[in-house]
Amino acid sequence: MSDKETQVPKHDVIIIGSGPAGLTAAIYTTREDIETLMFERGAVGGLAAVTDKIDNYPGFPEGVEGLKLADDLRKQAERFGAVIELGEVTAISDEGEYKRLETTSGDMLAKAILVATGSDYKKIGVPGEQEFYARGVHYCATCDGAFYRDKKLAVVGGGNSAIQETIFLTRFASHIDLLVRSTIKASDVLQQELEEYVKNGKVTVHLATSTQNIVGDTSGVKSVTTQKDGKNKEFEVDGVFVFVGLLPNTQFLKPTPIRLDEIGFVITDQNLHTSMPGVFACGDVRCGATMQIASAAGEGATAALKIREYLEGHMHPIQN
Amino acid sequence: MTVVAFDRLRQGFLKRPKVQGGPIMVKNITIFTTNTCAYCHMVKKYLGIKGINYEEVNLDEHPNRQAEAMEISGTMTVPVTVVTKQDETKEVIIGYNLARLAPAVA
Ligand SMILES: Cc1cc2nc3c(=O)[nH]c(=O)nc-3n(C[C@H](O)[C@H](O)[C@H](O)COP(=O)(O)OP(=O)(O)OC[C@H]3O[C@@H](n4cnc5c(N)ncnc54)[C@H](O)[C@@H]3O)c2cc1C
Repeated sequence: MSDKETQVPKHDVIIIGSGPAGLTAAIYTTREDIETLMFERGAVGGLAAVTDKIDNYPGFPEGVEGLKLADDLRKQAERFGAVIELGEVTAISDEGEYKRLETTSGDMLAKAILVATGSDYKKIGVPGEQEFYARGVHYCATCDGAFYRDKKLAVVGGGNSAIQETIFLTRFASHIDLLVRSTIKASDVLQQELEEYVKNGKVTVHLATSTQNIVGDTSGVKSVTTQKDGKNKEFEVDGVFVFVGLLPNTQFLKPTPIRLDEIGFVITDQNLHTSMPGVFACGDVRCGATMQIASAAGEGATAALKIREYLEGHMHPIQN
Repeated sequence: MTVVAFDRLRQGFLKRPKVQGGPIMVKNITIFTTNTCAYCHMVKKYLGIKGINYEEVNLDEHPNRQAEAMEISGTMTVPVTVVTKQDETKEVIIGYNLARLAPAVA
């Protein structure tokens, strides 16, 4: 081994991603006295940090602000000794006892890796979407909503996130056209809340309406063209927020032997162990995840305890 | 459908800009933020870790300065970090983009 190689930092566990899954796992590994380093390329707290208010995380009868939950999870993990490195993991490979991680802070070695990289927003893929990115087309209401005080908006999507973000944006926008490709698939509670804004005229819901084009000029977005029953319709808006689903952050795993499903979610066994020994996965990135903060946290705890078993050498592999 | 990175502005993450000549000292830093923006917290956290002072313009508290942020960045997003160097040149960093922020404030 070269001198340079012996200097590669070695860790017991490296957790990739500091969303609710990664941070919960870190609380557990560090409390078990397992030395733990985390990598975070975006916001500590993951998607929870960019969510305005979370009403369904247990223990908060009045709900909790996403940023507050994220910060409290971070503090709790750091209290027990977790270290969060602000940077990105770009590749991993199996070197036997240790796995190698290529990162923006250089190469690292870890006995076990936990992939808790969650997922990112999908694009709709229509003309104008790329061109007006951050100049009228947005994917984060809590980041960019404040620029639309008393302005007209369109929101594209019909799932939980789209409805939640529409409700958040009503605090700024004068009116919101909600463009739903098929039907609304959000929870009943969210639909009931949305109904209040529909009744008072703040939100208009357009079902079976597909977004075709985002139109604007140098000053920004001017309108969105849609299609319903073969007929085109134009909505004059100042901005468009897109929430049409999520795709897993697993690009960096594609060259590895780790099994992914056809969309790219990581396949694990019941121990949350992937097909690369010593590499585990939990939270939204995992095939079969329920895309909730409570379940991401639960999987984080499970993964940490399974990692402990693995490090102690008594994990029994389960056939997939 | 195609994927969009959650914050596309961070796409330049791995592309570090080339530094020409010696570094010019930072004179001051202004960050345009809002209360609910998680990436604003990350920029402040990064500068905090590095012990670097900055002025924060919270657009929720000072909505009258929104036009200024939009003019400087050409976008309707936060965070916008403006790094003014001793020679009065300015570097504007849109979003939480460590590959640009780190060398700009070094
Ligand atoms: C708008 C919106 C509203 C929501 N509201 C609710 C709600 O009310 N209740 C609820 O239960 N759930 C809600 N969710 C879902 C919830 O946020 C997620 O289920 C949860 O955050 C998943 O946690 P996670 O840790 O698995 O992933 P994430 O929260 O996505 O965290 C993954 C982290 O990994 C980082 N990362 C990715 N790749 C790398 C890499 N290569 N190197 C380093 N870091 C990396 C990312 O930057 C990210 O911070 C909402 C989601 C959205 C989008």
